[in-house]
Amino acid sequence: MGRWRLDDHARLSRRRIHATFGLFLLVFVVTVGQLVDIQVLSAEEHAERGVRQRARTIELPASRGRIYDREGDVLATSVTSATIYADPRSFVPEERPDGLIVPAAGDVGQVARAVAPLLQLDVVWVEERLGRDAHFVYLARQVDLELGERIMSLRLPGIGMLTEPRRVYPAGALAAQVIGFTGIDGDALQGLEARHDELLRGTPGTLRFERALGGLSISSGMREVAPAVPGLDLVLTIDRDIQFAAERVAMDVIERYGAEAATIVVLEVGTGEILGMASAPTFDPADRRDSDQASWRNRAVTDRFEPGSIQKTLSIAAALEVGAITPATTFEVPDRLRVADKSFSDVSRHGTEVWTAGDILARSSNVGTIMIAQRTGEEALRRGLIDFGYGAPTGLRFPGEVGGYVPPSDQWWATTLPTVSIGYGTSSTLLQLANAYAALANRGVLVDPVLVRGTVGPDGLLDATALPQFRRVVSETTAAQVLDMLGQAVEGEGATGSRARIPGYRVGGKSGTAIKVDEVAGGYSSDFVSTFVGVAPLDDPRIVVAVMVDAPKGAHFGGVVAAPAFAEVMHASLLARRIVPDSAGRSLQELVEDTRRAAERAEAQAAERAAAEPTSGSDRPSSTDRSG
Amino acid sequence: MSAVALERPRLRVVESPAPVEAAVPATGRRTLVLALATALVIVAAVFGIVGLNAMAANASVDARALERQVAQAERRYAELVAVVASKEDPGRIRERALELGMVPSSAARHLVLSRGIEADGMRRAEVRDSVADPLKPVLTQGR
Repeated sequence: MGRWRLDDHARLSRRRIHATFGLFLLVFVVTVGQLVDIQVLSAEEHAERGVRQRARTIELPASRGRIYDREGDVLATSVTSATIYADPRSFVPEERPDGLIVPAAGDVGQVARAVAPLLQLDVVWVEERLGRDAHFVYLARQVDLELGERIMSLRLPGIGMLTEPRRVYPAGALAAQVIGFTGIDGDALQGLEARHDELLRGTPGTLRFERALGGLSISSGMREVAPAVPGLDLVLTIDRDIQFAAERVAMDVIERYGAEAATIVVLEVGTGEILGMASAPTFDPADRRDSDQASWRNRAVTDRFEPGSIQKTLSIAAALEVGAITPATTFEVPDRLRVADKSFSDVSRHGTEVWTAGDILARSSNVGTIMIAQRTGEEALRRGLIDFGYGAPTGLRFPGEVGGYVPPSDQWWATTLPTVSIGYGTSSTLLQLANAYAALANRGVLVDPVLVRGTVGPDGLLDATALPQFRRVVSETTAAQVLDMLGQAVEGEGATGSRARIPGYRVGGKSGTAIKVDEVAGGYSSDFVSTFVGVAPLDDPRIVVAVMVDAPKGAHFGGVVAAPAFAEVMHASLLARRIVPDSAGRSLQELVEDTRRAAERAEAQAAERAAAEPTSGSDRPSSTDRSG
Repeated sequence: MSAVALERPRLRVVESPAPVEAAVPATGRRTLVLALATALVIVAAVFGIVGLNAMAANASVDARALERQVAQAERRYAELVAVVASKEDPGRIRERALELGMVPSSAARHLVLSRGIEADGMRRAEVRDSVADPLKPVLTQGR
């Protein structure tokens, strides 16, 4: 009996041991299986789920690159701004799914009255926004950060603040059409902002961090930063002072002559660098709500027009280049010429004169130019204009740039040659014309215009843009001969460009007056396009300035309307680029002596005036004294 | 009863195992020491980990505070750059000059320097140790 019990007990114990072992084995297998599943088979899914639960990823916006002028002056930059928003539903009591009533965060009227004056908004308008059935409405975007922080310090219920980058243009409207602008969301919309958006905008970064249940970040938790790569800074060829001078003069011309628009281009000879490109009227890129969209155009590249007489220079250059004439060749020029069924005449009546090409250019004779062109021939003239850059964009690749027009060979009729030679029947942009003159000033080599000197990265080094394309369009001799004629057209007796003279500098240039095409009705209108293009200093040309005044009222001749504007801008440009006058070269000692003598004269005059003044009455000078 | 059963067992003195008495307390002490050492190591490890974690958290908080300061300084710098640029605006300067009664100069005097300067197109390599405008970083490098 006792033996049976012993055996039975032992068997039972073994079974229990086996069962327990089996149980443990099962648990072990299940655990291992789960581990394999979690760590190997579904590792990725579980890792992602874990990250989703704990980690939060925030996009770090890349700062947009600045735009500088050629001297490093900031033309466009970005600052942090505040955007004020509201949660309108928080002003309405809400019943939660569990039946609990969440009271309204505050009173709409009270909040509106507090926030509206700070944001310079209408209280009623703010109340309307706060009364909407939405969780998010903007109250004001991209206001000053300090203002946003001031509003947040009021701890108004239902009002929040976000920070956003805001594009600012510190010089206001300066070079507005060239720089362009971005939209409120940072999208590049116009000008160089759009053209070089890929360089300027940079690459956003990311910040991943672990957060606790309530959303707070865990200080010691994971924190991964992929820093944003800031956009590159753009260094333009524009000179801020020259740009300002050009814009001021363009506005003055519009006001003086009641013109529709004025455009001015300033080019550096040899490098093709655009020092100034002004279009008026202009606009403020930071506040363009009420501006006319026509004022957004960079007219120097987007508007083409029949150049008129300023093209005569190129017609004569083409004639010289093919050997059709020499500077000494003379023509018997009447004031009227009939070609096929069309009569061409000079602006002023004159008898038949014996003129050289230089005389013809100085007097801007239509008839003389046509006679020269008849010697040149259709194809040589057409080829010459194309060589000077007509008919194709300049290579600047500015948004909206047009290429101008030269009639194809098969569309030259009997009157095309005379028409084209005097600047009608073709069209070009002001930049193309300026560049063609720059080629003559550059000893016959045309350089594609450049607007961007390079980019500056985080290392602060200027990465210069590739050198511009260049090609010879006329020989050095032809270029020199034409330059000489341009000097005659300004300095010569009876020259049409006499108002373009600048004291101290030799200037060469050509005026133009063309009847404006009526683009709506077709044909020609009663308005004119007045132009002047010139170079200085004539003996060693450094700068080209081109002026175009669209539809001036009263006076309309290029030599009257555009030439003085040219002189003013050219003078400002020569000073800004530190180009000494032809008459310069005096020593510092001479200048000091001059200044000393001038000071002595002023002292003597002041003493004389003081002696002449009555001793009684006020000793303060009257307003009329100051004018003397 | 058998003869064997009647035989008295022979008595002998058995010495008490003295070493056994000494071994018992020695094992106990060793265990105690081991337990204390283990506890100490565990406590030290826990404190160490907690301490390191606290230091890391502290450093992390400091780092974030510094990051905020840097971001704030960068923001301020960007604002100041814009302010300086707006103050340098030629239009504003001209307006202010006219308000002050200044007039545009009628003539400029020119000095021809014996040594070229950068602004006149002289290359930087030829003008050693020149100091550029620190406010205009574009000018300081590679122009």
